Amino acid sequence: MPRRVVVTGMGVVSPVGSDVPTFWESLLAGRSGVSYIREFPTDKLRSDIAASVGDFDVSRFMSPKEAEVYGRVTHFSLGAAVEAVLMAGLDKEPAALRQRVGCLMSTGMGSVDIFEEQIARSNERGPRAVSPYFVPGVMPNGAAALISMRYGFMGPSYSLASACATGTHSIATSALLIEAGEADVMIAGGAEAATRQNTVAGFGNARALSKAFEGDPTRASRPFDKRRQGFVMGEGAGALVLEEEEHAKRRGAKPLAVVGGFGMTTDAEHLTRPHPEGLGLALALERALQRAGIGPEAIDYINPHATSTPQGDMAEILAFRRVFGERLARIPISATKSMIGHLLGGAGAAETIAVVCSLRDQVLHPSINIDELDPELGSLDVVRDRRPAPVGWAAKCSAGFGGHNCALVLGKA
Amino acid sequence: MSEKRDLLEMFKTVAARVDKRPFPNVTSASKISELGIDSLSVMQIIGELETELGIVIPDEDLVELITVGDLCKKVEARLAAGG
Repeated sequence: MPRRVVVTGMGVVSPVGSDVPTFWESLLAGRSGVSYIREFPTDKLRSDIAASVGDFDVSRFMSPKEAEVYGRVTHFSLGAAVEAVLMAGLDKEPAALRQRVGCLMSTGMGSVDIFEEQIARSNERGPRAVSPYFVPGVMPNGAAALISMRYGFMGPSYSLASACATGTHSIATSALLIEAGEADVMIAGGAEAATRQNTVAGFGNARALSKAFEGDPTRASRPFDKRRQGFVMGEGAGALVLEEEEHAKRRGAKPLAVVGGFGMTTDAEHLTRPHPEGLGLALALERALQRAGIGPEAIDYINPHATSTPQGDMAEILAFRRVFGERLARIPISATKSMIGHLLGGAGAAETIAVVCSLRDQVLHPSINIDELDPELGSLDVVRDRRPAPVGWAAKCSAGFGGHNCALVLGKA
Repeated sequence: MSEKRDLLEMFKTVAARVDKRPFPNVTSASKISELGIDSLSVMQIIGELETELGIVIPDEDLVELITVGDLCKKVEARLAAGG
């Protein structure tokens, strides 16, 4: 009998709350975390809005020296991981058990802030002034190392990157490691804190970003709406504790959801544009269903990638139609990004936490900012207000620059 | 106030800034390895002293550093040599 993977802990840092209860309450209330950027001048940028984290106190998690060494993305990663570890009760487990706990906490872009800071320092004062902590401070595996050191987790730890699918791939790969017996528990997730002048410039110049909608930043992220223009940069982190089911039972940890299956594919076609018919994403979802041992008819809720770009949303709906057929019109669907923006490497992880909350509480969060559902997308049941719903199985999809697709199928515990 | 004393004070100031904590009891005789400063932070302190004073301490000088006083002497020698 294959080893089954369950979720036993969750932690989040987000633009709408930096712990799971606040995050979930905000999502259910349909609260947007998008506002104007105040951290740097935006007058020459194509977009001046972002979803930023406002209530995160790094001193709760690390010393002033550590906070200086590590970038904001690593601050968020540790903050989310600590909440998840405490929820799962792993901090109380003996050292021997922790030898089989691993960590796959990733980032899409890494410590952009530290790169900028140290390069500016070198330009200003010469290369001798570059910090000896520059390299350990920016290495994308920094968070996995820090979390492992903090708790003595001696299982596999590293980071992976697949742009906007990073968090989802980290969850899928962690589940794979547990199923394969390489670890009993994994801290899995992703984070991003890359809202800087030059990254906003880069995404903006690629014409990927949305602007304030009719002067209102909170209406800018509008997946599936007819007048969607692009995504809104977000920041934050999501961390989940994944655990082999029997292992969780033995130590009395409460399963919050089941990781039924996952699928990972590649468009292999274009660096940034999704496959026009969402073929790669559809294949990922089919694989995830197959691994879960269920058919598409069993899916009760979809949490899509839904970045709010015209092409991306269209390709994703075509992928869903390929998998679910006409029944797609009757499957509730809601886009977490409509409220928290696009957390890039953290997106899939934070959004999976929303799915786990839905499975746990049997309630769906709304997708906001749909003034007029894009008729080109066909008939869809987009959740407009929080909705109690029986959810046995849910699908979570992510797609990243590079054509990387990852789908998860999660079940009620 | 001697040059040496100035450098000791400067070391303490820079160390406090780099390691984000005060070093009130450091003397010239204090062993660097016993200050509880990570080896990377020691290199960061040396880099700060170099850029602030406009000197370069060659790698071979770093091998012989045991005490804070040893470091001050190396810095002093470089200052006397004009960088």
